[in-house]
Amino acid sequence: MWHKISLSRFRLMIQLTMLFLMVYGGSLVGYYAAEKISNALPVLSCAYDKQTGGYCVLIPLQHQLHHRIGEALVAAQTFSLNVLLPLFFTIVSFFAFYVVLGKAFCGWVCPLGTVQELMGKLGRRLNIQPRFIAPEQVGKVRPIKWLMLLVLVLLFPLLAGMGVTPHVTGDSFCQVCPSRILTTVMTGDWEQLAIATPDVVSTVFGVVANLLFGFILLVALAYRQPFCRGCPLLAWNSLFQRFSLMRLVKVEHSRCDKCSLCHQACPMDIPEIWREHGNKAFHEDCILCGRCAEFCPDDGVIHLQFAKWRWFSSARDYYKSRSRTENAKGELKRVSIPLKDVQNALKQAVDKPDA
Amino acid sequence: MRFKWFGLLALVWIAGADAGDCSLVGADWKNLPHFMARPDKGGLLAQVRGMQIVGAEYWSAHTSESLVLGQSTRLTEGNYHWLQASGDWHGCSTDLSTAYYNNMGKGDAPTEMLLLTKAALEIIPQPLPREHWRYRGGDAWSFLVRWQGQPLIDAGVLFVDSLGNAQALRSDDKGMVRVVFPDFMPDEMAHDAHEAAGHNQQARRGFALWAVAPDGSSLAGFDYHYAHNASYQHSLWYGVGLAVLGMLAAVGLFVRRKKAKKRRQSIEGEGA
Repeated sequence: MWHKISLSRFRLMIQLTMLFLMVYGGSLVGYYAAEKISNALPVLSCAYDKQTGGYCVLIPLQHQLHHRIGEALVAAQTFSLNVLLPLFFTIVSFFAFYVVLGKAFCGWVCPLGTVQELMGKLGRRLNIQPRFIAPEQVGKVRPIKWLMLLVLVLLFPLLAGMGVTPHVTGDSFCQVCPSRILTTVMTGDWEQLAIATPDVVSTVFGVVANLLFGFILLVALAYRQPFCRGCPLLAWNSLFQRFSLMRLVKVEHSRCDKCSLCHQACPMDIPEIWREHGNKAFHEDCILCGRCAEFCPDDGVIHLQFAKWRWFSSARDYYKSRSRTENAKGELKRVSIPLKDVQNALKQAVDKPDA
Repeated sequence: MRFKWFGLLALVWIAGADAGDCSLVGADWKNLPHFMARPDKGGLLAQVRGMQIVGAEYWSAHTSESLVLGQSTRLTEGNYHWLQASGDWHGCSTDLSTAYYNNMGKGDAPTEMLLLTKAALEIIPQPLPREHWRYRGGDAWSFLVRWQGQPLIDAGVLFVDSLGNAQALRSDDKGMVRVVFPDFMPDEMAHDAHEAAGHNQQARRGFALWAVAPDGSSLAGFDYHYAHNASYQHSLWYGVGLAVLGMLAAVGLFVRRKKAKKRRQSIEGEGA
């Protein structure tokens, strides 16, 4: 299969299909059915979207903390199963999703991830020089996603439920999520782009969200997957990645120290994929896009694996064919055809139309 | 104001159009019956005021059971429910309905539940606002008027709300009525704190749609609520401006880097 179509092209097709389903799926499957699909395939689009599915996994997580645990604590109830069970079920109901898809959600399904990639491709077409985060700088960015998860997804909703912070902080992450604005604007609904001004907290959230949205959209022309690096869903997913059937496997190879092509190909600039192997190579930042495996020039070093099934493995022949049009950094290779050849071909076609 | 004048005319028009014992002459928000439903002790507490009740029932996606008004009822299914109370209002047989959303768990879509015939005359939302949505001022939503299970064409429908607005509407050839909810400013109802509730703490107003049976034998009402216009205390232009500012910051990052790179290259060139 991979001789006929590259993994990147195949992934792009899946991403575009999922983007369409997640943004316009409501029109396809019906108004209420969209919610049912949302239940069956969690993380299907944004609850702020009026037409499509309504359960990004972070919504019930924030709501349980806000409405169940926070409110129960403030009502001085005992911290009983009654309070914890809904949260438990929320996590368990999404567990199947983590087990099956795992990190592949980020690299294959997430609408914001897809749009960032498309912007990156546009940047290459516009000749914008791609930028990379140096290995020594990556470590400074990594804690952001954990901070986002702990503060915006877990802490603020809990505090809102306890009445410590305003109600609007009950879904703090959604308030600043660029995907909320992006997916709704894509349906022609501009409402989420408007800044709420009833109180200072709402306004601050709105200002941050819109600045972030504009920044992410354009910075993606040069930096690969800028928002993914701080996304709390990446952090949340990484908690479950060791249980997931879908995983990245890298075996030790003597030439791995030298080329670093896998690191250059990685849209998340993960140096561990180059320097490590085994569990350490499947880093918490990995989005399972498979680019490292595509651009690894050695046979069978990096694999994309579902349970025991290695459905994509690095191969020298594949690498050669893949790198004809694009290098590991994502820069497009220009195929130049001399003008003289074009003129000759045209002349021949005119002189001998039957040829 | 436009809605209020129109509403007065509407009452006269509806009364004239539907001959029979039952009529909506003189009906307004204050003297029409109302359905109230709210969560209570993990269940549902439903109450009806303004009419003599004969019986009440509720429907879920797969079940229907009798509803005890004024007492907490534990719902066995999640998602959407249809509550209906039957009784007598001013000597007229009346069915009053409302919708209730219970997010206790996963449940089926309410399409079939809504299409099920539950009374002779019915006003049914098409569709119901979903969990994270609501009727809002300025929005247009459709309702189906049905008589004995069939769409009722060219039926007069009265819209009233708790702000005193009223509209006269007529169903089309599919029995559908399109309601454009009037705009209102939450400031107008700041004193009415009990109505300023809801999941997003949005101020909301009650509304009802009423119709008279073609033979004048009964009345049907759908009682619900709607929120203020989405643009209230929201600025789209500030939002667009800030997004553009974010974009400029991103562009600034490229340009600076590009200039720095050129400078570096020229220094390296000079050095060589």
